[in-house]
Amino acid sequence: MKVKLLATLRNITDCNELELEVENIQEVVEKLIELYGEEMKTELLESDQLDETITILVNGRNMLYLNGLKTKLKRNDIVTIFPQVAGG
Amino acid sequence: MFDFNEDEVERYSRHILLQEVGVEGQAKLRESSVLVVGAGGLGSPVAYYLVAAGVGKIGIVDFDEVDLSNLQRQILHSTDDVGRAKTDSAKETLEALNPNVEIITYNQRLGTDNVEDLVSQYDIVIDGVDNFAARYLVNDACVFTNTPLVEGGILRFEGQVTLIDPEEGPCYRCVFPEPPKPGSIPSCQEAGVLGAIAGTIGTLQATEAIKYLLGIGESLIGRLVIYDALQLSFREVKIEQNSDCSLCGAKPEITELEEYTIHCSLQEND
Repeated sequence: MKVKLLATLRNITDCNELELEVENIQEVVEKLIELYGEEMKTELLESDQLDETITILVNGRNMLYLNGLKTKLKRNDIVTIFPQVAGG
Repeated sequence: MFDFNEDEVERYSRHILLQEVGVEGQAKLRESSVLVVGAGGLGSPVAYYLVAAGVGKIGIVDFDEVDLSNLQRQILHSTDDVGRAKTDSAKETLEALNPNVEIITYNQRLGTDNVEDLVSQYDIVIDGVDNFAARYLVNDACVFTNTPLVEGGILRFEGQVTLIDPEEGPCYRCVFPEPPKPGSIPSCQEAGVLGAIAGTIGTLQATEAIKYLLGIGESLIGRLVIYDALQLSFREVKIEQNSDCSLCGAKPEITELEEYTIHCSLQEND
């Protein structure tokens, strides 16, 4: 499936999107940390849990309305990951 | 027919020249009203451009006073305004720009007791707040009152903007279901923001509001635009109305406004 990374995450990967072959969202997170190391881990995790600043959409729907990190992914799914910003 | 006087025709001439606006569109803007929530980083350019554009009535909500640290981005206010109510400073600046626009100020904190009444008095609302308590409150009130909302947020070198029309697209909670735990997302006060980012996103918010009021162009409903200044990219994320949304879904769990606690004494409209 296609994984799109935006904003600060894109600045770590230096590419807008990548193709991953994984089963679920949890594996997407693990794979990103495996590929991009400590910097990605710092952005994505907080005390070993997914950081609440991180929003993950599967085909435009927040994973929290699906099955969270256990949400199963299909080959044509588009996963979009970005931090929520709320300053004004 | 549209009874603009000579000065007004000259003032708005660059709009009137636009085929998509014209005299008719300019008259539409004059008959329109916009509520700007927050006279801070985002609210400043939003209010500036809407007043310059000749939107007939602009409401501005803010309970804060101008601080020296605001002036790096909150362009409605000047050095001499430090310590004044932001609503007073904003009104003075905006009236000097365009005396034809009615500026109504609300020097008060938004809460469950006043937000629905306020937003429902306007054609469209623009969110320029700097905390989750107010952000979710404004979204929920707009959904309950069927009031369109131009949602925008900024932090560091990034910004996000979308248009929420409760009658035909996703709401803020469809994308961001619940406010994060207190303290988990930094504010501009904690993490910093490049001042000009507020200008970029605020100007987009003003543009989307004007497009909505005029009924022109392709709206941002169902599209979240993410601006990355360091990369200089605008990327679009398609967002869907969620039938399971706790607010606007088929079986909503939220049926009345909730008041969230602000986690510390941060300025609301930073």
